[in-house]
Amino acid sequence: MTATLKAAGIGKRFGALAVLQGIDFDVSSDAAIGIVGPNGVGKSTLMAVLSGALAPNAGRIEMDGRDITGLGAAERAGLGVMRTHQIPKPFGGLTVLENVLVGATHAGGALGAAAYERPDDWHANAAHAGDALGPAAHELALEALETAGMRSLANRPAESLELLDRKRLELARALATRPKTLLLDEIGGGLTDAEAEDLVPMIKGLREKGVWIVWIAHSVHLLLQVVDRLICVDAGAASMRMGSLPP
Amino acid sequence: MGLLTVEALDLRYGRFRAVRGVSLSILRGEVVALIGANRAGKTTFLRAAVGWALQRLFLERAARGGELLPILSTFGLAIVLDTVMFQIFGANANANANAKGMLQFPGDLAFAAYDLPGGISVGKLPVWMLATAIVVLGGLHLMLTRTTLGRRIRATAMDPFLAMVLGAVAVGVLAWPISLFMLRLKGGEFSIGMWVLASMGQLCVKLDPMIQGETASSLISLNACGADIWRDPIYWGALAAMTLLLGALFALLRSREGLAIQAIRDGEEAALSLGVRPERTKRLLFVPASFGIPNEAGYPVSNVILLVWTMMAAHQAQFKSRGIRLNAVAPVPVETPILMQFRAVPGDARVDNDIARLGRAGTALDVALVVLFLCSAAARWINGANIAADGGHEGSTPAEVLGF
Repeated sequence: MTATLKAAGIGKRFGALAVLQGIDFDVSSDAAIGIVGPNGVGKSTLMAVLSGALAPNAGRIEMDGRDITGLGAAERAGLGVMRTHQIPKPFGGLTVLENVLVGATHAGGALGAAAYERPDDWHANAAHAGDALGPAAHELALEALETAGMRSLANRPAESLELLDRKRLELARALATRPKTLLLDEIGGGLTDAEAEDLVPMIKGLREKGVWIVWIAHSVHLLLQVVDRLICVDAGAASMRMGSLPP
Repeated sequence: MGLLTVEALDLRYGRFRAVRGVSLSILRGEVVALIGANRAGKTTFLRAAVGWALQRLFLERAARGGELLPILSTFGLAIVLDTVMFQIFGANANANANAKGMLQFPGDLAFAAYDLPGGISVGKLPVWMLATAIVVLGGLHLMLTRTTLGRRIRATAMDPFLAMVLGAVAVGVLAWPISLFMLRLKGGEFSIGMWVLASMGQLCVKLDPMIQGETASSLISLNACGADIWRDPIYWGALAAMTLLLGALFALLRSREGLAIQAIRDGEEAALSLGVRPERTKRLLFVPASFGIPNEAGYPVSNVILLVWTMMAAHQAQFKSRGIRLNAVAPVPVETPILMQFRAVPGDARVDNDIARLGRAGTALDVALVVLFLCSAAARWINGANIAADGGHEGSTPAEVLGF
């Protein structure tokens, strides 16, 4: 089954400042989409609106044909829309493995496809995760750590990680939820070129596994290694407009 | 005739005078604006005026005086008003994320406003919330003090064990609706909000004449229990409850929910985007946490622990090697303010019966003389003992029960 994330006529304003206006967005024809554009144009705001962290003032968002405009971040995560943060937000008091276990025990995670089939029945899903931190969740978490290349760091306190590993942890945590669509918000931001290159094969691997990817970045060079379609946004009239350039 | 008249209002925070001699009169239909620099005292003035108005116009009349309501209305309601307003009008960029599973207000309550003459509009929700708070508080107070049912409920304190269980359950039940709005507050706001709410609850309890918390003795009907009840059921009950609680906490923290709880502690936003639902998880902790072990169990339990400690410590080298003896003194009703409470709860008949049996109530001197004796050389061979300085009360009860 292919995931479809569609947004139509999205508008988001903060007071008088209209950040997004009439954005149409469709992640169904391409497996990986890259978004580039100057700072302050509203890329992260778009991510936040797509992931449910912010509510749009106008427009409609659909996931697999279901209207998810009114759903919050947690509910959308439960439908397979997962987002990583531009500034990594590790759970500092937990170890790396425990961080990833949070992902593995929520959203799709250890519940797998079953959870996505009954997104509204939260209680049934919780009951299925009844054995809580069972072996399935641990396996999933370790697999995600392996994919992110940080299995050897599993028992480190997340607090002590450096930036690259924090970015990897964001990715591993999101992976453990078995997302359908992964929204990557400047996952390479703040890293050196060599460090950012490290992330590319990982993201490529995800794409091949069938995870749909929306990747915001400043580096076109990075994006072109992964994405099928590149979208440029400009800041004309303080609102974000989208135009698609064939790669 | 002014609708609201304020004369020479003063308000101080410690030595700082925030509001000084403000007089104001508002006529019906008039719109008055308060202007001034920041920190000039506009909000403080408004708060004091609202608190005063609530107190004078409604609560004092409804409940015919008493200390509790004026204090509650001035401090509590003004702060609740503030908190509620803040909560509703405070910046919340993510209004829809929490919409599901939250308290759903009927109709257009959350968004609509009452339009007053002069272009002022007041949101319907805060008005209704405030009205509900006032009605519930006033109603509860009237019910408890003026109806047979209320008096009967208060009298369950006569059975301290029933009262403890009922108290714990009642608080747990109350915690659920409270969690609906308190858990919307984040971080420091939540701490302050809960602190205010807890203080208000504490005030209600402390000022209740049946409980008289200000004398630092808790549920006093427990004092009427025999020592055997303190030593066995209460002690082991508290210990079992504590063990159960620790076990449950351990199990919780090792579970999926425990992981979610820790994730929320470290970063709510990140937890949200992983599919953790903070509202639900927090409520899971908030409601059971309110059950707790009632404070009322603390008195007899600590009493027994102190006696056991006295016996054990008497044999510890640190005291023995220095020639220090440890003894406890156990008086029953003594002619101090606590006797009033005994009259209030176990009842006059019981106290009078005790006094008749002993000849008179104990005095502070009766107990002090025993302490003096224990400290003197004459008591040099008394160690680790609990001396009943009670005019023969402890001895007389079993004698009566056994029919000697």
